[in-house]
Amino acid sequence: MPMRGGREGGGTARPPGTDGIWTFVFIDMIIFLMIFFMFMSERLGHVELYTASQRHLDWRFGLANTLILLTSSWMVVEAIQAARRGDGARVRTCLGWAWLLGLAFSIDKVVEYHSKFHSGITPATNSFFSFYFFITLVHFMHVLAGMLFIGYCRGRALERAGREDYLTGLENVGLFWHFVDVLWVFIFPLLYLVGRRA
Amino acid sequence: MRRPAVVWGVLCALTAASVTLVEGGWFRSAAPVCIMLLAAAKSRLVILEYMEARRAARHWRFLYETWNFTVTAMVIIGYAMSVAPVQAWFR
Repeated sequence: MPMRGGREGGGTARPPGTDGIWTFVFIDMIIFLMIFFMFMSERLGHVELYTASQRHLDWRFGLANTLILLTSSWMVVEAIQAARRGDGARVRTCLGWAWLLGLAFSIDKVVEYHSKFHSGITPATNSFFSFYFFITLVHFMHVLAGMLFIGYCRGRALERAGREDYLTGLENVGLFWHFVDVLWVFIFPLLYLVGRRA
Repeated sequence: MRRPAVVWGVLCALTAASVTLVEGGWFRSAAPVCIMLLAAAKSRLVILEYMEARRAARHWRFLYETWNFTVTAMVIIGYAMSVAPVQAWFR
C-alpha cells in the first residue's frame, strides 16, 4: 500500500512519534535520574557494602539482557522502517522478534531473581539490594508494558501497515521501547560493573 | 549494510568493551569512568539513531542529550567522590 505524506522509501516529512510520547518518556527519564541520584548518594555513605554486594551479582545476566534489549530495539527500528514502506508482513516479522526478545529478557530476569532468592538475597538484605530489586523491577515493568504495546501493534500490522495513524502509534511504541533500552544501558553498568574491581 | 544494523553492531561492540574493561581488570580505578563514558556513547547512539531525535523538535533532542550527559556526569562524580584519594582531598 503506498504511503501518505511522502514516506515512500523510508523517508519521512514529519518528526517521529507525537509530542505526548516524547513528554511522557522525558518525565519517566527524570524519575529514573532521581532514582540513580539516590543510589549514588547512598553508595557514597556505604562504599564497601555496595562494592561487596555488587560482587554477588552475576554480570553475565546483565550482559545477556543488554544484548537482548539492543537487538530488540534494532528489530523495532526495522519494523518502523518497514511500516513506512507499507510492508505489513515485514513489520509483523520484526515485531515478532522484538516481542520474543522481550520475552527472553523476562525469562533471564526471572531466573536471576530466583537465583538471588535461592541464595538468601532479598530486598531486605541491605540498601544495595533494595535498590537493585527496586530499579530492576520498575524497569522490568516497563519491559512488560512495552511487550504489551508491541504485541498489539504486531496484531494489526497486516491490515494497517502503511496507514498514518498506525505508523504514528508504532513510532510511539518504538520511542517507549528504545527508552527502556536506554535505561538498561545505564542500569547495567551502574548495578553490575561500576566499582566492581576497584 | 543497512545503517540500523551497523549501529546495532557498534552498540554490541561498546557493550563488550565495557565488560572487558572490568573483567580484564584494566585501568582499575579509572575503569568505571571509561565504562560510564561508553554507556553515554551507547545511550546517545540509541537516542539519535533509533529514537531519531535528530528529526524530532530541537528541544527534545536538547533535553534528551542533556539527560544523557547529566546521568553520566552524576555517576562519574559520585564514583570519583567514593575513591580514597579524592575523599582524602576533601578532608
